[in-house]
Amino acid sequence: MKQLILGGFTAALFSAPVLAEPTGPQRDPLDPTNLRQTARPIGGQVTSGTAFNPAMSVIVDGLYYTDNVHGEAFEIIEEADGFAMGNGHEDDGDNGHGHGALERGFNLREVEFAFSATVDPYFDAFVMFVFDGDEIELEEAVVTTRALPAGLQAKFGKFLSDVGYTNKQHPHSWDFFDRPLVNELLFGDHGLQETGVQLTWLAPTDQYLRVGIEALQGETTGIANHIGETSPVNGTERILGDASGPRLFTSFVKFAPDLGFDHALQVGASYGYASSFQNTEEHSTRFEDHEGTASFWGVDGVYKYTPGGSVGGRGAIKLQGEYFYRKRDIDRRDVYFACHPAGIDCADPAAVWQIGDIANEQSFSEKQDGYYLQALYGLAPRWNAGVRFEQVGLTNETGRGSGEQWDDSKRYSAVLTFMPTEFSRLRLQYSRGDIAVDGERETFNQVFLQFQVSLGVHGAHTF
Amino acid sequence: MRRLLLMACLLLAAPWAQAALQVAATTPNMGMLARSVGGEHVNVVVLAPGDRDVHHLEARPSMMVALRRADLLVAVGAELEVGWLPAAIQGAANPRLLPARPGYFEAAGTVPLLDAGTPADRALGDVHPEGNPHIYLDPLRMATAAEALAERLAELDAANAAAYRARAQAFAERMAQETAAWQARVEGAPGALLYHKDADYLMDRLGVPVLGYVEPLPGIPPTARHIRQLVRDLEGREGLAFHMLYEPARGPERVARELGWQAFRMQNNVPVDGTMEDYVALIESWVTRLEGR
Repeated sequence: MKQLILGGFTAALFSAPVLAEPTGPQRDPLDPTNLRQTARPIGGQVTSGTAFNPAMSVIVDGLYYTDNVHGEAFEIIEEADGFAMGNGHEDDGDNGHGHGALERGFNLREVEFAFSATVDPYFDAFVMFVFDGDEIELEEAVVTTRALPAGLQAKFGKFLSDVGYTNKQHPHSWDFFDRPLVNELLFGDHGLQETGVQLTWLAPTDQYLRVGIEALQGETTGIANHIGETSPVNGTERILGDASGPRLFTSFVKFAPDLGFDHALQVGASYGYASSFQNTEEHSTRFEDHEGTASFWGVDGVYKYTPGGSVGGRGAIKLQGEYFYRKRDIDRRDVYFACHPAGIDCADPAAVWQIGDIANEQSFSEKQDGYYLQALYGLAPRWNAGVRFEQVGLTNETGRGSGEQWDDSKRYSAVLTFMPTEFSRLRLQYSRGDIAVDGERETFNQVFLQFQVSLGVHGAHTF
Repeated sequence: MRRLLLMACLLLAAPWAQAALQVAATTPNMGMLARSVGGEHVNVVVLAPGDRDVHHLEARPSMMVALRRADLLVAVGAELEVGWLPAAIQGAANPRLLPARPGYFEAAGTVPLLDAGTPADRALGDVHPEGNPHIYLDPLRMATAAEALAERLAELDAANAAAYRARAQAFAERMAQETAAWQARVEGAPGALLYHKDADYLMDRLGVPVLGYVEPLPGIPPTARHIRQLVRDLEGREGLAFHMLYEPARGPERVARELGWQAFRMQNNVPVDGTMEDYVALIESWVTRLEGR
């Protein structure tokens, strides 16, 4: 009896797999020679996968920095004539320690945390946080469509605008340590980084042609600064009001002729219009309010030469340049919040201005532009060297008061980068600034020794 | 009148009816595979030529143009093209080619991979935990991939399914026949030193031992110490040193000189417009060196 039970048990044990696979091991119809150990679904994709977790990467970006102006080089750039917030003001605005300012010595510029994944068959998503040593900021949080037909693609969320060439790149993709001056001074510390929607179309042509439009909330300081509702002063309304978004609209086109495998060229043009540009400056007795519109246009180009048979990027050449022009049409109206001259008793007959008085009503335009040109060369496997020349304020007009023309500012940079692998790089950069500040030339020298590593699974970069 | 209209319609429709499938292939070998299986029913565009390292390409506008119009993408896969292909597909805005759609084909997804299951630790270099992706130098794996590709083409273009299957079978038969001859010729060959793990599949198929790698770790250029170590380890052995045309010659040549071997600069891809004959010639070039005649 015991034997019987045991036998039955054994039989059950051995017959179970047979029952599960009544026809024996499946032969792969695609593998007549039984080459494969296990059948794979045809056309399966082989990746290391992430089991539904987003692909994650962390980029650590630190440096040693020094300059010959007691660490003030970044402040000098921020005060460049024609670009500073309250340019031409008799009294200096509160130009504090701006974003991107480094201390002399060791700095952690930023740590980027990037997450990307496919949401569902219809959307991809990408989120990036940046920790700059003090706080965590959301750099991008964007959802991109996957399944739109006819070469269309839409994205929405917070993202870096596709205008120009460098604007949409994260700092770890730059060939130099810093953002081009023209991008920083015309748009802002983060470039044109906005919340909104984008629609692009890739034309079904033999040559690459991509056009796109963006509707953005409009918060970028240089082009679409927004202050919103301000409370009246003693019953006098200020001209700054709430304007509903989107307030910034951009469009761009990129064209790349097919130049074979060794050469690649892409040229682009972009235009943008901000339906609201607001600014305010608090003087000792009055608010100076600017309310208007702004627009910009720009052209950009990048050329890459990748020789065949090249070892580790030796002999590769990359040329890149961008030009941007910005115009702001501004209505100015000041409102006194204290009697003027400052500190005077309002009842004093010498008080020229009373609280709530309106002054300096004028309309004017501000025009600024700038460009940069840079070249990179693959010196040896894993090494490249580059130079960059930048000029801003070739056109440099401000309109407040009786209007003023300002001098241009320049910066010269040279860079040497060593990339032990695609996940790490060591960079030495020298920059010389020649900046116009209040009509004077301020010069400085900067040295950056940057170390950057990328951990984890980072998505591929586009052209 | 009605007949005339019908004729006109047919004439207009004719080019569409016969329109070949547009195939984008990441490398010339994959282009060769698509051409061999698809024949006149496919129109193949190769994204990058074989004279550069497919690990380190970038997503270029010309690739996006090709992918924008493609009905099928034929990639090596297993993350070989991970540094640029996802960006190129994304930039092409062509939902037909997204992974898991019929328009996305990875050859490495159809065959067993060597070195699968290595730790995902970049201290070990540029490792591929899912397996070595360089399957394209193994004629028999390519034969399997050809048959899988035929099924895929049949799915996309049912009208020519029989032709695809027949061509894939012809390719597979040719590869089986050539491989048997190649194996016989290199029997007893002393083995070879490779630069990267990019000819492992060929060596494995031919039964020729890989004596070592010039790279100390995948993707890491050779150090003087590693070269000395290789020379010490291989002292007194017979062999050959190989490197691809985009890999630096200095390391392999140094080892070869010290050991009295020969170093060869090799190709791992057919020409951009290559055919099955070019692929046979490519493998032949390796076999000729290995048999040392």
